[in-house]
Amino acid sequence: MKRYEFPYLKQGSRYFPVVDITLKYKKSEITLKALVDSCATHSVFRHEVADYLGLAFAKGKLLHLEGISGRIAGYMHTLDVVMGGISYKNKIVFSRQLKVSFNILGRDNFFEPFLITFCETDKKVVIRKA
Amino acid sequence: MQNHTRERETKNRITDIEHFSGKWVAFIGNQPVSWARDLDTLMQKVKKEFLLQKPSVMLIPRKDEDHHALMFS
Repeated sequence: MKRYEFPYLKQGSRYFPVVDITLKYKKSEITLKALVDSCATHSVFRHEVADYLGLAFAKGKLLHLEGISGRIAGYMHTLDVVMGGISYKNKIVFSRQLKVSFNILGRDNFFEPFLITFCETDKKVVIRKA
Repeated sequence: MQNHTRERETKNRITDIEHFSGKWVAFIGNQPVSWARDLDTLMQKVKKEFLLQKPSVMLIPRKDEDHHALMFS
């Protein structure tokens, strides 16, 4: 079974499990580092990413998302994505109100095609195709 | 113990990105290779500087950013 390893990103004393993922929309594409967040139901990305892709994201399905720091509005789209050579469609919510810098990969549906292991000792994320 | 941690970090090529807090940064693997204040400027630089490789980009969290706000439902 093919596996992909991504070292955690270090910022000062903090480590973050991020993976590389490519988003495609029409003829545009961008490869991003995004945080794998098993607590997040949805994948939530920054509005700058949609703007760069030329995606009119406010035409998507309106959702209100709850986090510890409050409620934000976002718009859901289904985009073609590539992770580790595997192409599939991923639901992504874009929001201008996202209060964190990270693009967030949540369980619905980034986690569905993969088996994901967080190796805290070795500071890496291991992803296998499910 | 400290040396062991350092060896592990070297093996996994973990780079501290604290210096880039608040900036959009392009990476080859986990190594920062270019940065800018906004995504459009960064992507213009990346297209000029990296013809064959495809860096991955992200906005680096500010030093004072609260990461306890990452749960969404």
